[in-house]
Amino acid sequence: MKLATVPDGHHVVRHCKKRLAIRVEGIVVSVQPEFFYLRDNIPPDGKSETYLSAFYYELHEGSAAEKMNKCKLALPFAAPTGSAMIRLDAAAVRTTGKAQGVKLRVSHEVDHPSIASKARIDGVPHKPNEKLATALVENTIVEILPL
Amino acid sequence: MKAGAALLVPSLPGYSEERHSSTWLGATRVPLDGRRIMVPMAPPANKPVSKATDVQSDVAIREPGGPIVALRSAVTHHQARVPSSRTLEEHLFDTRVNLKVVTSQYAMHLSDAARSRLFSELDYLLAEDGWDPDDATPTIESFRVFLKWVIFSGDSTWSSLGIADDGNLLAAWVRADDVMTANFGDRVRWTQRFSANGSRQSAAGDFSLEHFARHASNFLMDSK
Repeated sequence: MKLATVPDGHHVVRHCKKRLAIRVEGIVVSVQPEFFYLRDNIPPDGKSETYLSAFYYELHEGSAAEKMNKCKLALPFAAPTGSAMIRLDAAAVRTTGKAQGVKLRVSHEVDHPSIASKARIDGVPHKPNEKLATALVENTIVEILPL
Repeated sequence: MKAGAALLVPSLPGYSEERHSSTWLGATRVPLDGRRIMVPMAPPANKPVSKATDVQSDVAIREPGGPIVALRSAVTHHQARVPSSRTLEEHLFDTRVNLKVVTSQYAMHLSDAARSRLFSELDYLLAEDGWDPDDATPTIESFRVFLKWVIFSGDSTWSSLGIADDGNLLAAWVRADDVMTANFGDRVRWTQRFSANGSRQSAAGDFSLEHFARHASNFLMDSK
């Protein structure tokens, strides 16, 4: 697997499930800190996530709206109603991690066999870390696309 | 305890207890004392046969005419749907009903509007549309902790609810640019994001329910 750092000024987009979205009168306005947690014991084999999955926003062409839509279309499943696509500033992810004493890496999987824009955030600790997650919510989200 | 029998809990000197006495017919509650307590959504006609279960609940203890001073565990008999093999739709339906049953046990402490809003949110969150079959549904224990907080705090102004990966209930309060979140487990893991002295601040902690209730009241009052 070949990883390339997503440079400063670029973004990655993560899908937020309905159950982790914060809504005001039905509109998604933010995400729960758990949005930045790694999942454990994932069925059916009980494995755990080792990184946060995302899509490399700038790899797609078109307007800002088209790029977000292409990230949505890259999901390996039909985007459920009530969920959202969350665009994150790659540099802000790194600096927020550093401020919390955690080295976060934002990378593009250059040679991913099926999803050209597959990206990832490595370095998130397995033990839930509310301070880190809250700071990431506060500092890194630049756009929310409700689905 | 037989279905419909009164729940007998010894009285404590100086306190009165609000007791639950009801019979469950499927998902519809028919109170013996004639009071309308709660009527959960009716089950679909093709639902499989349910079986009876005992569910632990809490009995509110209050000083006569005063506020609730404690919640004590008791066991209430009711009908819960436990089919042998369940589809996703059935599983989500059962979860919604079970959570509404628990809510009904606290019904006298919740306004109709608060209860209706809570049920609407549960229906939204636990709809088949948009549900990942691999996701955990909310645990009764976590939901009960959340209800206790609602009752103790008297606050039903949450903006939205959610569900953590482990089934803990999540709640969020949004006041302009200020946000508070809570993860209701054995302890309450909370976060806050707010503006202070012209800059953005964030904080997080892990409190007992009682401590969180005091802490949260400050946020909710300050951000009104």
